[in-house]
Amino acid sequence: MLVKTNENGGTAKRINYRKIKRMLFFAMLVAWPIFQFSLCYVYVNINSFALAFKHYEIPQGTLGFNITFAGMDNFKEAIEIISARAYMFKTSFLNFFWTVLIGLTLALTFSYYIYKKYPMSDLFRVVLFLPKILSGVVFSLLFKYLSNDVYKYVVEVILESGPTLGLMDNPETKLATVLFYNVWVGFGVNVLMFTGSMSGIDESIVESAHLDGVNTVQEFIYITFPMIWPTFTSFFTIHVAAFFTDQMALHTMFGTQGHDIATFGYYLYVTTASAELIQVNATTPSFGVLSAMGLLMTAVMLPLVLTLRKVLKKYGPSVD
Amino acid sequence: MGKAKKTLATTLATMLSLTALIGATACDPAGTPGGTGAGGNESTTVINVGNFGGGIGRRWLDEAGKRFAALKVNEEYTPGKKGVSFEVTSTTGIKVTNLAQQGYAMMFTQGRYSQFFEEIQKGAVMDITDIVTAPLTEFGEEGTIEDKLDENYLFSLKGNDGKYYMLPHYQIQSAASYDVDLFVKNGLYLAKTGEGVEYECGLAGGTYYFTGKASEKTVGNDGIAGTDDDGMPTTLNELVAQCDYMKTRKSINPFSTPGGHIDYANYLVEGIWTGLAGYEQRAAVASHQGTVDYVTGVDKTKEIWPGTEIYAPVIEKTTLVGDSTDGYKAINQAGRYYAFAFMELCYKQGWFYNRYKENNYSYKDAMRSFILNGLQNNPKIAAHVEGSYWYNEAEGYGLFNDYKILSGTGSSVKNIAHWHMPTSIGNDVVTGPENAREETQIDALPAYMVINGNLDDVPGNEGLIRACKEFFQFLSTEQELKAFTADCGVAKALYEYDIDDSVLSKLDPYQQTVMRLRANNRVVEQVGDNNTYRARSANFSYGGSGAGFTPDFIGGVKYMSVIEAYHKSDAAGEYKNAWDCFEVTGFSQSKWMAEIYVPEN
Repeated sequence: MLVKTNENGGTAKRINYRKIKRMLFFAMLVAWPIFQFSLCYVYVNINSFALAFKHYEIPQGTLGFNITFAGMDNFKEAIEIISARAYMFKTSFLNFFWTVLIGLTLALTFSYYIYKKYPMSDLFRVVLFLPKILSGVVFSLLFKYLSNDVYKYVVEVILESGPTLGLMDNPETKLATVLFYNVWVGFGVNVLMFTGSMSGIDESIVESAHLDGVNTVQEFIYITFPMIWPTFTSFFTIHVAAFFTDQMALHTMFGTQGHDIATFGYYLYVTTASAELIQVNATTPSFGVLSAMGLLMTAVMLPLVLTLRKVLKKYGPSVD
Repeated sequence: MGKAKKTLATTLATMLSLTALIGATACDPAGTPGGTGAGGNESTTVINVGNFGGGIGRRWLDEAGKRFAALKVNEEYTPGKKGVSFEVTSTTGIKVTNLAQQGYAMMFTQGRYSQFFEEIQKGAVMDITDIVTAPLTEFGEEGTIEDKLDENYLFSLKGNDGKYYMLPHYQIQSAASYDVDLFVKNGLYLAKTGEGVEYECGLAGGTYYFTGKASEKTVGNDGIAGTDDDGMPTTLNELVAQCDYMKTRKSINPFSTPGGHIDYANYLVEGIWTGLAGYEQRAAVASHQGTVDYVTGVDKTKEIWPGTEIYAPVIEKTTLVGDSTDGYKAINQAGRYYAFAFMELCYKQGWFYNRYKENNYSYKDAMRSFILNGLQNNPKIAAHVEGSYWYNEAEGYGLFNDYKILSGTGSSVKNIAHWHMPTSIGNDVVTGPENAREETQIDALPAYMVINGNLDDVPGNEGLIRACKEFFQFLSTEQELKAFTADCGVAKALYEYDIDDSVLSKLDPYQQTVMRLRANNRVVEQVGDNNTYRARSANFSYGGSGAGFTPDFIGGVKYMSVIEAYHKSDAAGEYKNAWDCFEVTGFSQSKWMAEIYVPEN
């Protein structure tokens, strides 16, 4: 450490070079990621706010665009599109119901089973997490081939039941198969996080409860679940927040041919990929309209999610 | 902090930093993806080229680059560097909408015309007026690039400021490709009356004859015997009879298209529409000029084909006023309705190999099934439905090599030909040169070559820009245009050059049939020189997955093709027929005026 002295010989300021070096190193380390985050997330989101109020037209005789204030026009168009595609609410809700309400409940049950170290719990932990080891794209494609080609082979060749369509090709089973996939693939992270959270529960509390005569089900209801309530709340809130953006892996599985079971998330993803500054065609709106649609969805979900979080925190189960 | 802990922290920090920096490589605006370029360390000026990896042009680009480099070996484009070299990246992610972000010095790519036009308007594409209008004397020619281009479509290469920004790239034909050997062996060609096998076709309402013998074939659209279109349909009913005969008598699937890319079925719709409509009517979709037969509704008392419940359209002939106010009539034209109706008939009769319903039946699977036709338990398929580029892709995947091995023929060249499309909805079969009809073609996919407009934002890129522009000039010489076709098997759009025997002899049979078809018939480019088209061009995009073929039902579902709409809406119990699809992909007058029409100045 270097200590500087002033003209009168007194100590003026201590320069901690080690601290400066560490700060400099830290700054260099985070500068680029922060810049990328600012550009690719903050700027993009701010720009989408602005886009929602812009209208682009191609001027005659010159390059560039005539950009005018669109007022609420983009929002009106977005509402029209949402209203015309109300069936996507149904799919989004079905997805929410199965992956969150059913999926999370099952994940909790499985996690408790593993936490209690019941027979083959370690095997189940690995098996349930397996889908997450592979990349999402690879796994969903594998599942697609299993539920289409392998299923078809089994039915047509092994069972000799005549020509059939794969589970994901048959319109009658397509949605159910996709929902099953989403529930199944959701177990990996859910179970891992819930079991992790459960393993942090103080053994002495559980033992004490057992001495008081608590059975397994009561232990789950009165001790385990309340103790992991913060983890559950986080997961539940995140899923609710994704109600409008979850695309159910439809694009990976069906490309642009998944509109018959589309969620809003899928619609937004696919439409944005083919949109331009100016409306592409009657059914592919401009970036401005899509931005407005995103803002509308945020406007619905943000208060809902914040309120839900508050309610869950306040009225959630307690170990007391 | 212990030494080990410190080392670990430093290692982790370095790894994190490197990981974060990886993302930086895509953001260089100076045309230097991968860190090479005018400012690179090489001894030459490096041109980074983005090429759409759809099967066409990679090999040609490499070779053309080498030829150009050899020609310019002593040219100092960048101070201290002699000559040029090329770094070519070929993926399907090369899109003009990413021109500014991906940082290629130039791109050879396809897409919607509106996407190119929007990038020009944004300033992302470089002005190349100087090289388009300058004589090609440096390369041994007297004329300019402008002189070589189809004057009817010069406007499509310009921005709204009247300057040139793009040059045309490849031209893709729509329709289908058929297996010649299968046709010959099974006698699937249409025969002259009284020749070959007689077939009473209830659907087409008449007696038709089929043969595999060249001498017995009908003369086709050109009216001349001994040409590629012999034995192929000249009327819609002949096409219907031919498909019916294949399926009913020979158990052959007339068509196959990938379920994983059901929008490829649109190439057949486009081929039929264009054939039936003819050049003027098909061009009117974008030009909003000329006389068109437009559909005002359907007559539910009259079926096109008996017993099919596919109804005949009510048609009005009208001459468009020319100011785009009635452009919707051109879009609602009869040829398009009949093409949709034919597809509905295909659906109802099961004329598409039924795996089109399977999402896992990929485009590669579909090509393979067609090429291996009947071999290795593959079904018998008369024709593969896709743009003519499919042949290059199949070669790239080695599918013809599979054919060579499995067929035992010892040849990787399969006898495939372009399926000639009918040119009339009536029963006026072409019988000779006296009543021959043009078989109009349409360029299915707009494809262009462009230079990155950001290059001149970076000081010191003057040499790189000059090299890029000179390369474009070089590629526009007669010799290089021929080399392009000889290598790729497809034509350059809009360029007028001679695809002579020296070029044709280097092509496979299929590619030769496409080149001859193109040479003998006009090709419609899907562009219009009017304000409405420039401002709303994507609305008139009918190629591939273009909006015109993707029925999007309000309150319902969007389908990528009419065949998908028929089969999925039927399965869902809410059947959408040809008229439903036609209506939803067309325009009413009020919708046109409210959403599409832009007045002329």
